[in-house]
Amino acid sequence: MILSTQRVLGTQYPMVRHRIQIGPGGMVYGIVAVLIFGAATYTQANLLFLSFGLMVGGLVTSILLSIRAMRKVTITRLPPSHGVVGEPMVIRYRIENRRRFMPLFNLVVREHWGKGRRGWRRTGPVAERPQRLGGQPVGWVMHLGPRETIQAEAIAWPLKRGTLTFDRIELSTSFPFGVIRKVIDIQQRDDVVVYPKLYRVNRRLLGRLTKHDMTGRKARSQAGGQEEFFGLRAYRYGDNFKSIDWKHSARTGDLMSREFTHPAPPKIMLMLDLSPPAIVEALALVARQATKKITSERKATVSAEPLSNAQRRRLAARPDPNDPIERAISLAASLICDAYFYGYQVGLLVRGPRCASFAMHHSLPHRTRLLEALASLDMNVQAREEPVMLAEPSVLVHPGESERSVLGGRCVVLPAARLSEYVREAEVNMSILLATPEAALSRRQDADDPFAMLRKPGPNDPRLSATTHPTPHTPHPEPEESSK
Amino acid sequence: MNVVFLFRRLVFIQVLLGIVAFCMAEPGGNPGLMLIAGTLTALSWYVVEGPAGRPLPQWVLNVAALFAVAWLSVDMVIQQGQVIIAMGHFTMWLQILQLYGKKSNREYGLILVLSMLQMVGASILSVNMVFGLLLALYCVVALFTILLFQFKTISDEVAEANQLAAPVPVENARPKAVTTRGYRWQFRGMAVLIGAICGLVAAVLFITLPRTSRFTDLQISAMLARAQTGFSSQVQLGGLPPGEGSREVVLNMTVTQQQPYFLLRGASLDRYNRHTQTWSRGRTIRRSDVGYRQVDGRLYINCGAAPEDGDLQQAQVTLRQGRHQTLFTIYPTMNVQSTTLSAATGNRRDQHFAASTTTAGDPQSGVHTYNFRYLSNHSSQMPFERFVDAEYIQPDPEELGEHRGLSDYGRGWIVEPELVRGLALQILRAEFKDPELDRDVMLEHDPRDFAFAGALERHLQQHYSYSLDFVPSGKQDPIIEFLTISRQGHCELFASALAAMTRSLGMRARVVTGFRVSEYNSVGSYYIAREKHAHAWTEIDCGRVGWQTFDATPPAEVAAIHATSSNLLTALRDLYEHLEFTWLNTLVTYDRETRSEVLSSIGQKLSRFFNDRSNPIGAIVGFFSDLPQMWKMNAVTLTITAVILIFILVGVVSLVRRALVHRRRLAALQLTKLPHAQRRGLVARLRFYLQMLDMLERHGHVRPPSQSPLYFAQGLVADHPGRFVPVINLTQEFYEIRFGLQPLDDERRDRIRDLMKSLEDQLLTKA
Repeated sequence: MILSTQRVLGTQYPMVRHRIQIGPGGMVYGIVAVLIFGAATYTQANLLFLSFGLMVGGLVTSILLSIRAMRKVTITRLPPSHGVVGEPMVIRYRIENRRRFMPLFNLVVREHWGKGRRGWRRTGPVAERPQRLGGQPVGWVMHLGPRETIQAEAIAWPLKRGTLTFDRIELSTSFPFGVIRKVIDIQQRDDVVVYPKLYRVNRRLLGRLTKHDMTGRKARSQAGGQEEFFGLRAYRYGDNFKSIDWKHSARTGDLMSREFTHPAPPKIMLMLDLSPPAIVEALALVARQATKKITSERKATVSAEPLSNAQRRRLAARPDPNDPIERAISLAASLICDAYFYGYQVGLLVRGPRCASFAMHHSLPHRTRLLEALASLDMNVQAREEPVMLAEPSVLVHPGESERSVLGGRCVVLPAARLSEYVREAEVNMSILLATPEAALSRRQDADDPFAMLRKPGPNDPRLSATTHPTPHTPHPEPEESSK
Repeated sequence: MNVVFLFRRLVFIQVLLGIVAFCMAEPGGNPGLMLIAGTLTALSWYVVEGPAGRPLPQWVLNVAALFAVAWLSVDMVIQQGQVIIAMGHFTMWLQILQLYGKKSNREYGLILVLSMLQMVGASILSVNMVFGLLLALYCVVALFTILLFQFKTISDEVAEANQLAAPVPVENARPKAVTTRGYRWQFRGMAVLIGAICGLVAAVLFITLPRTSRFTDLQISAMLARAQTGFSSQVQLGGLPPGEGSREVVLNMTVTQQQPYFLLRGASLDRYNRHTQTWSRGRTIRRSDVGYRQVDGRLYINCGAAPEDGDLQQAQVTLRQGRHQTLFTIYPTMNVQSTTLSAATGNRRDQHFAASTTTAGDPQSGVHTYNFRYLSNHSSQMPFERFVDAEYIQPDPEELGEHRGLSDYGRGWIVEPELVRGLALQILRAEFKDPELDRDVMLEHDPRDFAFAGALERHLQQHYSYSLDFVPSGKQDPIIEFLTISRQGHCELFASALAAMTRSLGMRARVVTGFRVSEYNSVGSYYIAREKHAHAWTEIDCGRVGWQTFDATPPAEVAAIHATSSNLLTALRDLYEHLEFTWLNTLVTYDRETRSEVLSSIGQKLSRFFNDRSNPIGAIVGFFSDLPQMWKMNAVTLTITAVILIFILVGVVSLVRRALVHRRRLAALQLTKLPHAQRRGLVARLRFYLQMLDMLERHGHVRPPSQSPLYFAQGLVADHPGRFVPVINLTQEFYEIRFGLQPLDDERRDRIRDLMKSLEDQLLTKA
């Protein structure tokens, strides 16, 4: 049973909906109370009358608390900057209890779409086919004191790249006895970009990609940087005193300054080929492999552990993990992330769907732009012309299985059908790729040493250096050596 | 706070408490079952929740459940159809089985419901105070268990939602309990508040819920009756001695005049059967019993008019057990009255009173209270004939062997009469030092009867010894054996011997059983009769002075047995017994009549309070009630005045509300420090800004008190570019009016209205 009311606070903008629901717990409570009343009436036992009174007291308390609950409570969603397919995405909520004395208990925060209690099953990203979100994000706050503010968390599992739209927040409590549930709905729309699924790229592959352009492995032949010694020149006004070569100046009698080189990181110009011919080839491949590979896997799964109907429905509603287009986009995104992680400059060209072209660059905003471009690729909107060739592509990713390049030249072709050869199992959470390299390194070290966080950080602790002395992007740490 | 672990512990404690309480509530207690079930329950914690614990396999539990069902069938046979006890045992086994199994929230819910139902059954079975305390403790534990169960179910629900949403199995999907500071104390405080509200509502409902007497013949108390020790409405002299008796409290008595001890009279036994060696109440006298029922909520038995020079005392007795249907009084009783007894029988001839077996008192508890009046000094009053005035009943011819008609009531002795008479005369001759002393057996009254009876009583007290261990040989009548051979025995033998000797002399005599009450509870200021205080004595008709009480038992030895020590333990015991008495008197015996009394008492107190002009509320009520008379208003003018008053009241309330709103706005706009004249204008002009904040708040955008309006607006626009531009403009208007002291003219008002409309549209459209 749902009793719905709208709260009007003297203005004509009632957007916070208050509802009172009587759930199954309330039904059980009522049945037990009626049983006790029947027994008390039949036996006229005073202790039973007292017990019945206690039950009614519980009901009265529930009603009173439900009426008073959720008043002067505000909730605001703090959406994450992005999500990644297949990775947990933490949505935070700022909940404030502005009442003076009354604490709140057992608060449940849910994301909600559509109308009615089960509207999220008919509308919104959970109801989409295939699903955009694995389920309704739910958070829990056990206690919120009076005049306190707290941050609650709900975990969402994006299953599909693109823009995830959050519609409204439902905050409820059934404290104390679960008899009556008080709910408030707050409209707050937020969009979160969900990146394609990310993998850790095999280090050999990254090394192979950079071999083809030797310019990427040497320093730029001009001065002005801070890396290695480049040459000497006469001192100019404004030069740093530290750069003065005192020995040479003493020998020559004139002040001489040392010049250093700029770093020149490796570069990758990535082209993602999702043009109609490539897609046709990929679909043909899927059709060939469908019977012998995917079916056999499913059969093996079924024979190993029979699935329930609910599990089958859930699996059917989720995106196909073997979709060749999505695999190609994922491979491209993974290359971009790993390349950024190791300090490469990356550019992106996309053939087929409409997408901007990106020149080679290395920065966090640049990487974010590339990932957002890949996340928002719409296969239904095709570009009318070829992408602008800002530079010659060095890597071509396409959804098929052919290693033959349609572009010719020294381009490395990475067919997404062989994705498993290019990526490796992630040893840590994939969100590590989206952090800054220093923080990621620190996290990796912590993962190797589980007691690292418990120790007091020393002066050379990487955690301190990562937080107090942020350094710009370090060059690639020689992937071939590590693979050797 | 580890909610799950705490909840599991509380469930365990609740089940254990329920089992102990039920075993205690069973008639006579069930210590064996308590031991077995308690041990099994305690063991379940180690087996399931222990360091290496794990639940038992489901098939084991299924087999055990079959055994439980079989046990239910057997139990129904053992308990002779007592469904409540059998079902209580069954629910107990089911709970224990659930404790040993793997438990999800469903199983936990089942355990809680079963436990509560078991306590419902126990509440039907017992009215004991210890059980009441256990019930109260159980309620407290149950309150915390249910509160924690809420936390656990929600936590599990969130964990399950996370698990279902995840594309791959998640190892630890259970959410962390997010709390703010002071959550422990606030949780306890909230639990106490909830408990207090529940208790208050329970008290109100307990007092006001109507009671019925429809099921008064259920006689559940008879089901609960235990083996009798102590008082009996029959005296069997053969066989084993009665023993000392238990310490169980039978009744409480409050009297207006305290004495060292009272002989509280129960059964009046006038017929001795020589074959069964039993004293009982004759059928002839029983035909004179008169039934009484409540009239106007009160039962009243009148036993005759009190003599003018009599010393009339009053006493109140609360019977605390259902098995004694006898009403105990002090002889001679003038009247008996009660509001808790719906019906009773009384016989004015032998002063025998009993609660009616079909409609007496509260059948569930067997507790009832009655008052009676008695004469404390009746040495020269109350002849037997006083009671034989109206209802003469023809005697039953079959009873003539014992006493032929009422004229022979309580006279004659048939077991070796010559021997007994000879013995009595021998005693009297020695006592009065008159070898020729004799009494005519056919003579109904002799002026010396009182002296004769007293002499015989003294002789028995002085020359016979009191013993609870004496066992009659069975070769001859126990009374004859007591008088001639053993010369020792218990109180019944003393009373019987005196009755036999006086009867053999031609006097009327009867044996009376009841209690010798001497124990005084100083905490509650009342006397207590226990089973061990059961006693027997003799009543003898002494002619002109009527029936007199004679106790031939050596008083010093009886007093020594009934004596109580005065130490700390005794004080504690007195306190406990007083609490139990209070518990019975207030909670257990609360019935329809008590309810009507309590409600009328509350009503009277309220009425008195509102009519009392000395307190302010009473003065106000009185003023308004006197108003029509004072102003000589008729119905029309009264109605008009009432309507006007209502309008005035509404106006005052709206004015107060407006003042409050005004104050709130002043605080929200931080205008409290401005001069009054400036405040008023600004509040009216800046109302739109508060409306804007309300709108934003409903969409989750709350301005922290520390933020300035401009900073807040800039933050909104930065977070949501293009969406909250009207907020910037409205904030600008706010600043112009607030600090630029610009007027809110029509142009500005229209502009603000447009901006508000625009903001509303922005908020309603999808971002």
